Amino acid sequence: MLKKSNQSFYEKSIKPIWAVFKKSLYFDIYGRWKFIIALIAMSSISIMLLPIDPQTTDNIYSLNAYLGLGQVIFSYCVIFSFIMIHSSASLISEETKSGTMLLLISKPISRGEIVWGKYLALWIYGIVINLVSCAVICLVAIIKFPFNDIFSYFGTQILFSLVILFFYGTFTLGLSMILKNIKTIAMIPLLIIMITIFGAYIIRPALFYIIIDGRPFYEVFQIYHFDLGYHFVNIYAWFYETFVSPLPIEVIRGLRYFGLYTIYYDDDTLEEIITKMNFYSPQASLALVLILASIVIIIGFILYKKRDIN
Amino acid sequence: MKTDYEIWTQELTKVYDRRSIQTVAVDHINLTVESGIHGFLGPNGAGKTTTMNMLIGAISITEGKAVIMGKKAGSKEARRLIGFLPQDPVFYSNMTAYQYLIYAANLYGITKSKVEKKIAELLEYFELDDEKDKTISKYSGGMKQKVGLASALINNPKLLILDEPTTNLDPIGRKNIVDYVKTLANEMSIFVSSHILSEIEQMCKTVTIIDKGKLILTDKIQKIKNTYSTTNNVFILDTNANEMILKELKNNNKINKAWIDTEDSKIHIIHEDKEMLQVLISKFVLNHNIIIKSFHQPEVMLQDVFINLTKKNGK
Repeated sequence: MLKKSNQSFYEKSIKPIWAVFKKSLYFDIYGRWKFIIALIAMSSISIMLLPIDPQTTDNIYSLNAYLGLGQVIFSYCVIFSFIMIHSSASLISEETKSGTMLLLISKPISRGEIVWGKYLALWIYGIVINLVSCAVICLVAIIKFPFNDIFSYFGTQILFSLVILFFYGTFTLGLSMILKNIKTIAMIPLLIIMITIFGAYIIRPALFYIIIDGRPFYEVFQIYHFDLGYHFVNIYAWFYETFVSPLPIEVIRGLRYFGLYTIYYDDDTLEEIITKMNFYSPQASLALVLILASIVIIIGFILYKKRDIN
Repeated sequence: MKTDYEIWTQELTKVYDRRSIQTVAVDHINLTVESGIHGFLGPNGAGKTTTMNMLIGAISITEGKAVIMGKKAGSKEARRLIGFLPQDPVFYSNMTAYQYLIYAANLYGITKSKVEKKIAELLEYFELDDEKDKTISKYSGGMKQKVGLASALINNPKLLILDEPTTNLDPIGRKNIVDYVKTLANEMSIFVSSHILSEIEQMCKTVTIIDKGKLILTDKIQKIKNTYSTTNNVFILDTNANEMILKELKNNNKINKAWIDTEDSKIHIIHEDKEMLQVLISKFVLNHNIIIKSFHQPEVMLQDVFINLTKKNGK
């Protein structure tokens, strides 16, 4: 015979949202090996730099050449985006597909609390990965390329990583509420990375070289509206110029592949002619990125709230 | 809000609209469930699971109302009062039973420290205490069902909703679950669905039968049996001179049919008028000094009523 407990259970002590947060963080998102691999991948550029002697003592140049842009493009725009997509794609869809969602929603918790609990867990995981990997990178930077502004430099990078975290975390979690198939959910943001980051070195320059009526194809057909790679680097350049210094020439050279700058050589003097393409103000780029991800998560939440769970 | 009943529904309806094709899964059901164990019967696809899922708020109600203990069905307040076990409970494969029960308790707002004693009791009650640290993916179907029941009981619910709790279990597993449910009835009301009628007969006092989304019958099981036995025209008679009585009955043109059944060696009689038959037999046994061992109508099984009603509904 089951004894009836005298304990007063309804004296609430923990909010259900925290239960979902803890469970999502420890059982869905975090995994020891997943975490270690993510950290190694995030810090791989700095780890590779450790045995190499810096070729120049011009510290700000070296920092940007060896760590800065590599970290922004590779660590944040690719690796960190992958981590966020991998962590968020299954958060809702897996529970809906497998059937665990039915048991979850039979408990006194709203669907909004379920989503917020999971979203919060995603943010905490993303921030922890960021801080730890950034600490490793920062350490290498201090050893290899000492200069005074190291914290504002890496602070800017962390700030930029939060934009990436918000975009891919929010966008993919939104898709996770709309679609059920995890592969399809992950494929959509992965395609965005493939086209906007990897494609940046082939597709975007090609679109700049095709000239129609004296203007690049990219500009004539206003491709920049849909070019997330352009918007991301536009935001990064803004953060950098606000918190560190004007963009050094080697960063500008790197960012021309993203449509932010064009570099032409003067036929007579062979001098570089650098032009900034002001398609969007950085604030507008930031707003666009945030709004796009927010729209996807809002649509996802509306559909998830209405969805019948069987 | 109707507060007198554990579950009360008014014209509860669920229509699925998929690719412009409308399917009525639950069709204007008026349900009243009082305290005790209430069975919810119906063939596969009758709408039992859909009804239960509407009650817990997993699926939306197309039309009508549903109230659980005075609270709107599906609301947080109503869900706080219930424990629910779905038809095929699915658990997080990387969690142990202990971790899952802590999580389930947390979802009710109960902290680990407050629920540890309760979890220990539940694990012991369901004989899972030795396996509590194994991941649920390694559990058998019966053990998973026990974890599901334990999680449904974690908040000391006032109403337990069980959707076909014995499906996919072996006979021993089924018996165990039936026994657990019967024991739990002392402490809470239980609304249990099944298409295994013998189990419902063992567990419940009242029952609702639905078919093709429509409510066919709701009443006390005994009352249903009584109702259907009065319309039943089969009688069984056993005496010390069965052959002699059978001869007499066969000669009587008012008796539709009479025979000695090979299984029980008793006389089976089909007759419309019970009183007339009693008079006839009484006179005959008195005249011939025959001893009556038994004279009764066979008990109507719930299964017979169920088949009869769902067949009629099919027509």
